[in-house]
Amino acid sequence: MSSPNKIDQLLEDYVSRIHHTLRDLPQERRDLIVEDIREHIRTARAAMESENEAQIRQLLDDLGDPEAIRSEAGLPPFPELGWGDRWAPWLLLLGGFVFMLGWLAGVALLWQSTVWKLRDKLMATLIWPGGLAAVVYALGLGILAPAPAGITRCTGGPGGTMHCTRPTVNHLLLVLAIIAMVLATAAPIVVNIRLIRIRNRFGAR
Amino acid sequence: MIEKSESSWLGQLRRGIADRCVLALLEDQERYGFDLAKTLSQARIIAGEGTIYPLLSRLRRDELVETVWRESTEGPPRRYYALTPGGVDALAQFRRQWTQFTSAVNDLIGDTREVSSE
Repeated sequence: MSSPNKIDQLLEDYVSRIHHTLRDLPQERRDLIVEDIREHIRTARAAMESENEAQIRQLLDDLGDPEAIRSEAGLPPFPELGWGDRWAPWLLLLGGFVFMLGWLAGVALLWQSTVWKLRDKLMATLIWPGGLAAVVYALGLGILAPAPAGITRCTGGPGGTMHCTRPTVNHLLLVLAIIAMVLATAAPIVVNIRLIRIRNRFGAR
Repeated sequence: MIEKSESSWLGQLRRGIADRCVLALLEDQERYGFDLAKTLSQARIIAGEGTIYPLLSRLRRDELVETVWRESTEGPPRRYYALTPGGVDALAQFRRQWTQFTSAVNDLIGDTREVSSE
């Protein structure tokens, strides 16, 4: 006995495989094909007297392999994942610690890969050049660190006197600086996770 | 389903004319995708029924067919496919070419075989 959940799962898996398989088709054409296939499934199910898992599997078998549908849509076969696709996200994140060379290699692998789209490639390159190492270097240089509070401004007064003031530490600025630091560190990690997710979806089948 | 072992030329021929067969099926009436898929797969023109949909999508892009929504007796409205004037022309042209092509091939293979077997 097959549960309705199992059947829904089978169908949903199939439709999402089609959707994924056609991902490089223009959105409008892809949506129409997926919608047509959903309708095909609805029509076929409506004609079944009592549906069971075997019938649903037969229905999906008749519809055929998503790869065949991709090929009929005029798209080339799926590319295989290369080692570059596996390593690029990590080199981008951590490669900067190896005199920037690791990061540069990561950029090269990223841009020659077909796994990621232009938007992801741009994002991964710009956040941040040098990856996590860039954040560390920036902190070291004090770019992101709160401005030291000890700078003293002096102005010459009348009769040779000097009037000096020490600026007070602006607490709001300090808080903002810390938030900026955290965000700057988190950003490349988030991008890394995104790249890996996209790649794993891409290579899933 | 169409067997994998069949000669590749036949598979290629089927793929090449499947979209023209869709045009022919739409000549006298609008049809919905499921109907086209079943008809063509029973005629063994297409293998996977699902391949009809990217094919329809291409015909639509080339403006040889168009889609229309029609109320259906069972369930929600359905998307039907219909020939455009461009599709009518393309079908007429295909008919001429196909007739010429098949008669040329028949001339080449049919008679030779009959003569040599006698």
